[in-house]
Amino acid sequence: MKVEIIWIFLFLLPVIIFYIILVFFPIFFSFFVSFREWNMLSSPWSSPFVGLRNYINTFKDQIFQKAFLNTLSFSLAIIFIGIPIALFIAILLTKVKKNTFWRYVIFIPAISPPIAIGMIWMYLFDPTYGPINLALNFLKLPELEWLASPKHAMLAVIIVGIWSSIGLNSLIFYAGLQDIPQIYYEAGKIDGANAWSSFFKITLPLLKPVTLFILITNIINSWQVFDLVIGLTGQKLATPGGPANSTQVVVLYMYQTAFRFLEMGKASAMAFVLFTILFIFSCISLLSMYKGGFENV
Amino acid sequence: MSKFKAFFLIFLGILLCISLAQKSIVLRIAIHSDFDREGFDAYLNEYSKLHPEIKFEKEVVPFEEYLTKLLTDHLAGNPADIYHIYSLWGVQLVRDKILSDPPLNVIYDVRKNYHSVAVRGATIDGRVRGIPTEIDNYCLVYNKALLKEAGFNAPPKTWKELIDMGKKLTKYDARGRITQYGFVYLAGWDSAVVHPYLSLVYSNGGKFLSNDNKKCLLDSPEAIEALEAEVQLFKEKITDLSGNVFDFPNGNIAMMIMAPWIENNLKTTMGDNFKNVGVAPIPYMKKPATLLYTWFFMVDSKSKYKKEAWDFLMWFSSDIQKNKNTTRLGDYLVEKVGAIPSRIIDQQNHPEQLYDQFTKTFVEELKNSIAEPNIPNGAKIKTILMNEIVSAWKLIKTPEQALKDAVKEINKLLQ
Repeated sequence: MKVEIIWIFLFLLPVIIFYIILVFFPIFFSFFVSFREWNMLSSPWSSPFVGLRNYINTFKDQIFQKAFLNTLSFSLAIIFIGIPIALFIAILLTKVKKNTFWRYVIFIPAISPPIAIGMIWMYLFDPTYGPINLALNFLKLPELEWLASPKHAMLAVIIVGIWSSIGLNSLIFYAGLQDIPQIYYEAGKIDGANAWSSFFKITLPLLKPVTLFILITNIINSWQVFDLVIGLTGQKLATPGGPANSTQVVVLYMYQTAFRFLEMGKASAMAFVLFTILFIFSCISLLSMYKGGFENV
Repeated sequence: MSKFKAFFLIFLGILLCISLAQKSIVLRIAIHSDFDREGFDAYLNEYSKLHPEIKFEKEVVPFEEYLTKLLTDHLAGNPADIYHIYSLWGVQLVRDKILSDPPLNVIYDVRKNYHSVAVRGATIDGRVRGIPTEIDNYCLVYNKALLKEAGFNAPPKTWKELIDMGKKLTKYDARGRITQYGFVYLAGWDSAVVHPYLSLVYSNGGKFLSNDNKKCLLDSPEAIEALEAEVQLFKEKITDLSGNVFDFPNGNIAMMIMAPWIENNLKTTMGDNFKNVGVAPIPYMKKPATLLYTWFFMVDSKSKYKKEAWDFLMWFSSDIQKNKNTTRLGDYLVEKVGAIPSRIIDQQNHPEQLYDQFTKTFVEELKNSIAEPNIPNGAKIKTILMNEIVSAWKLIKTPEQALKDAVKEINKLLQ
C-alpha cells in the first residue's frame, strides 16, 4: 500500500511541479508584489514595502474607476443580452432538422482570434466608409461615430463582445437542449402547457446546470476582456483603450500600468481586486442557481 | 583497441581545435522596427570583418513593444548589450541603474561634436548617458496639390490662417462625413497628440514645466489658449477623430504635423505623388516654435561586453569616413531612416539629403526647437495629457477643465 502511494505521488509529481511553478508561485509572488513599490527594473525583494497603498491608489485611480465601469457594463451586456440571444439561437437550431451547416456558421466567432475579430470590426465601424454606418444611413437611422467617439466607442466594443460570445454559448445550450427528454414536453402538452409555459416550466429549469456553467464562464471571460479591445482600438502606435479612456477595461489598464508605466505593484493589486470581484460574482451565481437540473425533477 | 585509440585521438584533436579557436564575442543589439532599414546589417558585417572575434545578433521589435522588451529582457537577466532608446525613457532607466556609464572618451566626444539639443537629450541627472542618434522635431506637412486646388499657393503661417484654410480644404459627403480632411491628428498615439500641442504652447509663449521640472504649467492662460486653438479645428469640423496621419498617402489629407522620419514612409507609399508633399514651419500663435525629441544608443549595465559595445558604437558614430567626411551612423540616419543626425559634421556634410524638399524645413526649424524634458514617469504623463487633450477635442470637457485635470494628475507624478 505504501509503495502504491509512493508511485501515485511520483506520477503526480510532474503535474504538481507544473502547478507550483506556473500557477501557485506567480499567484503568491503577485500577492507579495502588490504590497511593494516595484517597477521591474530592480530586484523585487529589495523594493520598498508600501502596505495597502497600492490597493488604496487603485480604488482612488479615476482611470481604474472608468475601466471598472466599462468592464462592468461589458459583462452585464454579455450576461443579459448575449446569453439570452445564444439561448434563442440554440432553440432555433433545435427546430431546424439539418442544422450542421448552421452550427458551423454560428461557431465561427468562437474559433476566430479576438485580435482578428477586433481588427475586422474596426473597419466595419469606420464612420465614413464602414458598412454599418452605410446600413444605418440606408435605413434612415442616425449614424454614429463608433470607435472615433468617446460616447459610442464602448457601445461598439459591447456589440462585438456579444457577437463573439454567441457562437460557443449557443452550441453549449444546444447540447443542453438535446439532453432534455421529449417525454417532459409530451407530459406538459397533455397537461395543457403551451409553448411559453413549456419553456419556462420545463426547458429553463432543466437547463439550469448548463446556464450556470455558461453564466460563470462568461462572467470570468467578460471581466478578462483584453485582446478584443486591443484589436478594436490599438491601431498602429495608438494606445488601446481610447479615445480618452472610453474603452479602457480592467485587464488592459492593468497591463498598461505594469508594462507602460512600470508600476508592477499597483498592477498586482489590481489583479487581486479583479480576482475578488470575479470570486464574489461566481459565488452569487452559484448560490442563486445551485438548485436545478434533473436532480430536482 | 585500435578503434578506441582512433576515437581518443579524434577527441583530443577536437579539444585542441576548440582551445586554439579565437574567443568569439556575440554582441546583441536590439532596435525597434522603424529604425531597422536596409543597410544596417552591412555596418554590422563591416565591423565584424574588421574585428573577426566580434559577431552581432540583431533583435528587431515593434516600437510599441520596445520598452516592454527592454524591461522583460532585464527582468529575465538576459538583456541585449546595446539598446537604442527614446530619451524620455532614460530617466527611469538611469535611476534603476539599467544604463552603464559611458567611458570618458565617449562623453567627451558627445559634448564636443554633437548638436546641443542632442547632448541635452542624452544627458540625465547632469551626465551624458549614451551616444545621441536622431533628432526629431515637428513641422507642418501638407499636400501641395490639394492646397493649389483650393486656391492656395502657400501653406499657412499662423494658426488662424490654418483654421481659415482648413475650412476651405475640408470636403464632406452627402451624409456630412469628412471625405477630405483639412487637417488630421492621430488620437490615441500620445506623441501625435501631445507633441503638436506642446509645440503650440511654446509658440503661444507658454511652458510645459517649471525650470526644476517639479511643476506642470499647462493651466496657464497661454496653454489653455493653445488647446482652445486646437479645439477650434474640431468645432469647425475641419478634422475628427477618424482622421489618421498614416492615411496621408491616400491623398485626402491636406495638412498634418509630423516628424521627419515619416519621409521614407511617404516616399514608399506615394511614389510619384511624393512631389506633392510640402513641409513648412508649424503655424504659430505668437512666435515660431516646435518641440524636439531625441534618441540615443546605450549599453546595458548587465552587458558582459561593455568595452566592446562602446567601441563598436564609437566606430559607428564617430569614425569619420575620409571620402565623405561623415560618420556611418550619420549616413544611415540620413539616407535610410530619413532622420536628422545629431553629430554636427553629419548635419554639415549631407546637404543633398538634409536640404532636400522634405527635410530642409525640419533642419531650419532646429533653431526654433525646444527639447522635450527628460522627466520621470514621462510615458504616464504623456498618456494622461493625451487623454485630457482628446476629451477637450471631443468637447467632453472645456480646454480649461481638461488641462486643470491633467495638471493635477501630472503634478502628483512629478512630486
